[in-house]
Amino acid sequence: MELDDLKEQWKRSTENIKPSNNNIMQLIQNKSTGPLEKLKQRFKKPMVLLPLVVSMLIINLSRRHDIFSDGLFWFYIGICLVVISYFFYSYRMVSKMQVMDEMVKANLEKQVQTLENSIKKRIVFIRVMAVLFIVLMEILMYYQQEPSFAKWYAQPLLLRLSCYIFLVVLFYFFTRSVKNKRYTKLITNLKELVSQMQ
Amino acid sequence: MHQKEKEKEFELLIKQHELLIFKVCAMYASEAGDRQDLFQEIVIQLWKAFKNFRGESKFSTWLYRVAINTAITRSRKEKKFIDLYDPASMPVQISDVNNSIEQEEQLQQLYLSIGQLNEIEKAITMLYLEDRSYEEMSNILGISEGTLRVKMNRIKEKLRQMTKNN
Repeated sequence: MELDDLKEQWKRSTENIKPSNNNIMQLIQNKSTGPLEKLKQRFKKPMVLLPLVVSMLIINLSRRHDIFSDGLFWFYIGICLVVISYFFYSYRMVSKMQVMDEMVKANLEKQVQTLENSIKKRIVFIRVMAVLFIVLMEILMYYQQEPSFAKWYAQPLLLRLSCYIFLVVLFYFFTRSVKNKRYTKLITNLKELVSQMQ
Repeated sequence: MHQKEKEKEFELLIKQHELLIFKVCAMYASEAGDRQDLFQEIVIQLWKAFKNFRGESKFSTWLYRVAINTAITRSRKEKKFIDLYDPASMPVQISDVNNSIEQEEQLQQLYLSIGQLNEIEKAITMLYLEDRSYEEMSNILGISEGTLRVKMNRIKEKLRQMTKNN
């Protein structure tokens, strides 16, 4: 049997299908359960939770002394803002990918490009954050002698440096493995689909 | 336009074109539950995109774009689909049409083969079965008409081979 033989039956079949009882207005009130929406939620949660955690840390800090002259306060604020920006950027990237009314090929190409760009930027961001964290820790030590980290600062420089190097290497492999696990296969699949449309 | 009016207009358009969405769901989801989920997801995405619909293309063309894009995005996670594909999920039910046993078997084989096509080939096959012109198919998929004709011939040949081998 050929595909053209099915064409006629396919056409006739539409006459047999009865309209559904789906309540369209009720359906659109539901939340999307698609993979992109799930990804979006993964970025949304930290944007809400992080300020709460940082607020608690700051409240705890304010019990001790004037927080505005405290380096640790600005350290928390800085880290919080940068991390929120990271999640916000990721959230916006996924939102862009959720626009579905473009031609199929253009939509797939856009998804590949957006994913590749955002992953590259996010990986650089996470690695830079690791380095920034280390630099800020050391700055806090020299300028403030922050008591919360007293034990850490009491360690020999060589040990601290080794730990920092270990942290940077850990972040390097962590970001690489997350990229491979979550995105490489997805991007390869998308590219394959795009190549089939050439 | 007022929000309520917009909602009414959307509801009416979806009801008029509901069959098209069913067919996309049947093409991309093998089980009843998955088809219902996909239907809901497509309607949600259509509603989100409806604010930007300016009527520059036919409503059905626009709807196919959103529905196929949504189905492809969703079906990336359903690789089990190929093994579990159920011919009964297709809009044309074998029992709907009076065929000989041999014809029914051939039809089953053809459905199974369609289920094994990749996402893009499924979209082309569905639009072909829907008797959409190559121009409209091109507007939906973003592939030139010439390439579509070549692809269609290849798909037919592929289905012929798959049906023969199964």
